[in-house]
Amino acid sequence: MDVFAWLDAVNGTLLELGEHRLVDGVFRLSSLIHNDQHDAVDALVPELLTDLQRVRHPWLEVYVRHWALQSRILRRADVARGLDDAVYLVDFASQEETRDCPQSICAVQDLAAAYGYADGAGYAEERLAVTRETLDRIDATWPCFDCLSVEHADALVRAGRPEDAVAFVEAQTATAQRNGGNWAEMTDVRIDALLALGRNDEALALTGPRVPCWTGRAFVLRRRLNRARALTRLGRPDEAVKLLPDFETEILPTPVLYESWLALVEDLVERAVEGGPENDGHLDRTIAALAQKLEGNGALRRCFETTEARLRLALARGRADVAAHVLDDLRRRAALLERPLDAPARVEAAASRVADAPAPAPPVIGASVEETMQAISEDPEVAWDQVLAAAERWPTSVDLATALAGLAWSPPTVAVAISRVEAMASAASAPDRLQQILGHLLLTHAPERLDAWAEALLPRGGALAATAHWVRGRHAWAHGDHATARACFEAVLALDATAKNAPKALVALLEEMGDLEAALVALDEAKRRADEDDRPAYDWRRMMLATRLGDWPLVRAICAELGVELETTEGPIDEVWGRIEVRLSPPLVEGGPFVLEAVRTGPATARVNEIAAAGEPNWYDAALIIDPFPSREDPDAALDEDDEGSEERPMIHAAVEVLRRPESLIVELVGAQPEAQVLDALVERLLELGAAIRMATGTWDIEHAETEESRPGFGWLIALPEGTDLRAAHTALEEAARAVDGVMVWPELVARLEEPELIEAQEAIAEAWGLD
Amino acid sequence: MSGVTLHRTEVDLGGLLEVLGKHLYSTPAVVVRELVQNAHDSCVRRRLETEDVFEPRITLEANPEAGTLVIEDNGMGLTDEEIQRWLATVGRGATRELRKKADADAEGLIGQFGVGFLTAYFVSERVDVETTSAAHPDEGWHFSSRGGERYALRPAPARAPGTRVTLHLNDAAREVAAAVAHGGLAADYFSLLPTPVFLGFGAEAPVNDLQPPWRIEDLSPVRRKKLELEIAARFEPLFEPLTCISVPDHEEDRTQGLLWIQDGASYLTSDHRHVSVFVRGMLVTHDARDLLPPWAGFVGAVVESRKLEPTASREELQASPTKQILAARLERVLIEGLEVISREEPETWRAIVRRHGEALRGAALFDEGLFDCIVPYLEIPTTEGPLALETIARRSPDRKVHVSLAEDTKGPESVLYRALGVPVVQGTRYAVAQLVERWVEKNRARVVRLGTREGDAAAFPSTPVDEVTRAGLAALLGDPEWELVPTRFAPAALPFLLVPDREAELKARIESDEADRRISAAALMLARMHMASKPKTAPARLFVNLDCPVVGRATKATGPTRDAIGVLLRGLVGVLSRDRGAESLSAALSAISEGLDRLLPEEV
Repeated sequence: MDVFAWLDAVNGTLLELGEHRLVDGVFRLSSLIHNDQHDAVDALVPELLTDLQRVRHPWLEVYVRHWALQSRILRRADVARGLDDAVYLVDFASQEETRDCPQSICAVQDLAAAYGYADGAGYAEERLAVTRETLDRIDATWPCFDCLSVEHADALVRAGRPEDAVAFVEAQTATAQRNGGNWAEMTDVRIDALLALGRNDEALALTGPRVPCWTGRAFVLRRRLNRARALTRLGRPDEAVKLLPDFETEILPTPVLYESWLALVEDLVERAVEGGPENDGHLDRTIAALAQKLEGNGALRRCFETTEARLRLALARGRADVAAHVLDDLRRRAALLERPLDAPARVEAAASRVADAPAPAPPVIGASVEETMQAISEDPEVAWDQVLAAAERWPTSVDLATALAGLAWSPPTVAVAISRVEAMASAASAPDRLQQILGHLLLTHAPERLDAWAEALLPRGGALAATAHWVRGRHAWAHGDHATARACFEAVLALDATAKNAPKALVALLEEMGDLEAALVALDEAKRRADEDDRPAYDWRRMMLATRLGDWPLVRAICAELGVELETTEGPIDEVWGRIEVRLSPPLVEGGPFVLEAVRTGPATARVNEIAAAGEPNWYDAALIIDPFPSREDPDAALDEDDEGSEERPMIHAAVEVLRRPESLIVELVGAQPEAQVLDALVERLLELGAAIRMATGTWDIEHAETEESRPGFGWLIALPEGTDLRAAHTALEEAARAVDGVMVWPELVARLEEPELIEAQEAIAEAWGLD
Repeated sequence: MSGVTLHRTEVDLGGLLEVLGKHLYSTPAVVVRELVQNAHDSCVRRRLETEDVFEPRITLEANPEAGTLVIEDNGMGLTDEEIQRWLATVGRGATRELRKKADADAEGLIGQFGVGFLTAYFVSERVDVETTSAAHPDEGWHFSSRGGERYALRPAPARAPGTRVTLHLNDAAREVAAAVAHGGLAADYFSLLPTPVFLGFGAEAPVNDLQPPWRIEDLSPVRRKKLELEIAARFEPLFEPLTCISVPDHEEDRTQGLLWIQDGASYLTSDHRHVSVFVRGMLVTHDARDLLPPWAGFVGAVVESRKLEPTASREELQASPTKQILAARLERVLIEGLEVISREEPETWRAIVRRHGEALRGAALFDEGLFDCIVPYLEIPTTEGPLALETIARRSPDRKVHVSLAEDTKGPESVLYRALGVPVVQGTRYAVAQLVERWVEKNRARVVRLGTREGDAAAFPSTPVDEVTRAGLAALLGDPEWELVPTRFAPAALPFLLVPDREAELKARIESDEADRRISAAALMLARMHMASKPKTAPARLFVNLDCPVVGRATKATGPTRDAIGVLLRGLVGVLSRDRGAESLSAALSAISEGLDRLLPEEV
């Protein structure tokens, strides 16, 4: 059955049921995979599965699960996360409700491929059996004929039988061609096999533009890599170099390509092609990262072989020392293989080569630390040697210890860096800074050793003990252990009168813990230790904390220190400092950010005076604590000289806490516009009652539905704060309405008065004049 | 006929036209683009090669009834020698030669392949060209050809410098005249062409009077914004533009224009990218979506470039480093633009999030900068409604963000989540789980993945109990198949939760004899090999709430009362059990009934 024709039909049915969102996702899934957008696949699949279970569509669920595995296993070689799912799908796709789904048979391919990536050579026989069994059940017209043939041929290649693989693919291709089936993908395995056999001319011929290739990005890149491999081996490496894909964007996201890419790189390195890859420390790091990724993905045979390639390249550039480290990795990774086959023998052969390799030449270092630092190589491998050698020569150099910490990247180099810095820091004349660097190294790479390191330093007291507390505190904070972090930072303050970072960290920690009083105390200490020029900024932060605590005497004292003049001398500060805008963001308010007009009422307070439009959350009259420093640097940024009526936009301050958010009653007043003196009187009366008014701009007419009488319209939003005399407000509005024959409504206020006649009367007016 | 010379072109024009018609151009309407482009280049050429003071002008006159189309310009015009060199030779054209001499980009020359005029033959039964060169203003020429393989060239009365091409359209192309008369083509192909184009000789205003904002230097921000929205609305086919982001000119790609956010809801991975590209004022394509990142399915764009190159058909862009550079830059401009909007225009930002919140969730995964700028404001679906991540973290004990990963929304986990009393993120919704994972790393929070063995254990940590209590619980609830986990959770009224272990369930199914009947032998062997590596665990965990007063009292009960409570509770557990068949449900209900019956006093 044509899976995609079936899919179209199913999607059509789902669309009829209104499942547009689901269909859209199902429709896009395969194209996301073809374009190697695997993050998007991961983002999408859980929702699709949930929705398919909701609409009870097990066949489509098989389809989605299969394609998710195509992404997980056949593009990312992620067996570690994919094998469970592949087994689940084999089980799910064989249930009574799913076994007739045209995609169900593909579950077998997914499972076979998962084992192929886990250990292609180790599980070759099982894969051959599975694919043979399944191929016997289908004919060449099935789309999976190609895919299953790929798995079978790949199993033959991995089993060391490339000739059989070529013969098999040729036979399957002929069958597919006779029956109008697909054979594009199995061609790639044929090329792999031909390259393994050294039949490079034939391989090259199959990578030409006339040979069918699937259009997916990974397929195209694989063909290109294989073409480049064939060209290189045929003595045309210059052409091959031009085909080398961009590593970061084209290879890194798709682990199934690592093997072909690495084979090509090795070939090019061997021929030292101009413009080709350099066999240096950068390449070493890249290959190490690939091996790490493959190990994490559970692609263990490929990981082993990648490590082997790394070792070969290290030896090729004369780095027996690096190769010796890689050999440890190789040994460990061989042990991960459940079916090691010839891996142990290969490890031993590699060990012999490493043992026989000459030691690398000693690194060139300068006559001084400064000279060495200036002449550090750009090749990280060479740089590491230089810094390490120099650190042995100048064992108290902070610069060299810092450089060592920066250059350490792999477990062996990290271990060396820790050990070396440890030795440097323990020297009699070692500066304290070396212990800080050691602490940083442990924090980053070996946190399990932090306690022992700290325990050793604490008895020495002073700055060293402070360093121990500081690093421990950071570790505790990062892991959510607030109490330990607090104790550590406080200990730093007690031990080291010059520490500047610890008091700042303590303030942030205490604020996060909600202990504002303690945060204020810590802030005082931080200010005391800060440079003179920086202290005003601390004062403003103290001001904010003091305001949050309601400690008005302290706020006033800080104002006095800063020369801020206040109108009053005691009690809460509630003045009118000028127009600002406040920005409310989550978690103060959901659905934000909101920027509202406000009045600054003190050094760190504001009151909102904007009445929000209908449907928006209303913050009118809310009292806020604000960051005293505006977030908009340039108040003229949005100023537009051509925009008539616009004024200079005020500063925006971030709101940090809501002190009070009164429940004002917001009333929409609409109707026929009375004369100016009536409106003036209404404004005056409403303001007397404590209301605020926001008037709509522009002009419009309202029209009676039956008589078609037309009148100029108007609209206000009125905010009536809690405690307003609602009856008096209603009376004032009634009086204004009389001036326009009652063509005016204020439904929210009338509803609050709970008088059915009034409500009915206003509803009638609203309906007649279209005022709702 | 006096002075008339007959000539034969040097190529197999019939074959070439077939190639052009069938394989290169998608529609006969391209002839308008090609000839207007020639007319424009001719005007540029006159400006470059003469000192004439003139107002460049192109006029199109279509007569659908007669099936004719006239394209006239007041450009350089042609001499007889130029006619023979350029109109009758494939691959040569005035512009192609002029480009070699002049800075084509700076001068605004468009043509480059020398095949544009051939399209006239592709749509016409006969082509007439009347022309007077500005270099020889006293000479006029009339070129005429049917099919292009032979043409006649004769002197004609001199006219004002310029060229008039008259196409007598063939039946297949008569629609072109109607389309021109209607004005639709003008809006499409040369809306940004700098030379004014008039529809009809009597027209007073050009049809391409569009002034894109990127060509105007002194614009106030508000006017620029209005103009950008107008232009965006002109090029966006599906939605109103919500807001625009300017694309400034850049040396590397010599391209400018604008992006806009569409005012229509997007979801999941919906892709409505719509990108119009003009090269030196002439439309190349409306579908250059690959210039925008795949995550930007809610964005439209129009750009004008002096460096991008169209393909020979001029309906697509050539794949080139410049195109890659531009694509990367547009992504940067878009991200920075969104960041500015989120900071400076909260109202617009809220509108964007309302419409494209889901798409932005996905987009944030692909770019670190975008993540930092938008995630604080994105609302994440939770059991307590949509909330910002910081809000969720603050409402969760120890900033442990609980994420539900269970696909089955009706499973016992849903009860469990409600029991937690904190917002539980719906991790199966689009992009949510990954977004949370990334956010907690940066914000000193942690994630608890509910629906996994580790996550459930973290949410409901086992509480140590003494042997007596454990024995009491086992006597009441124990079933050899369940793993009993004493714990504490709110609400206290909920005595227990039964959570299946999916892996244990799968292992049991794969290892059962029943699997042999439905899964092929070799595949089953592989599946069993994998499951054999898994430790055997109970098929479900029963979390018993020690804070529940009933549990406390029940464990202390003795004798027949304890037995009856046990029967009742086991029945309740059976009802909660995930994969209950009709038989087991019936058994569970019977147990409840039996338990109640035993507990009720005799007299009731």
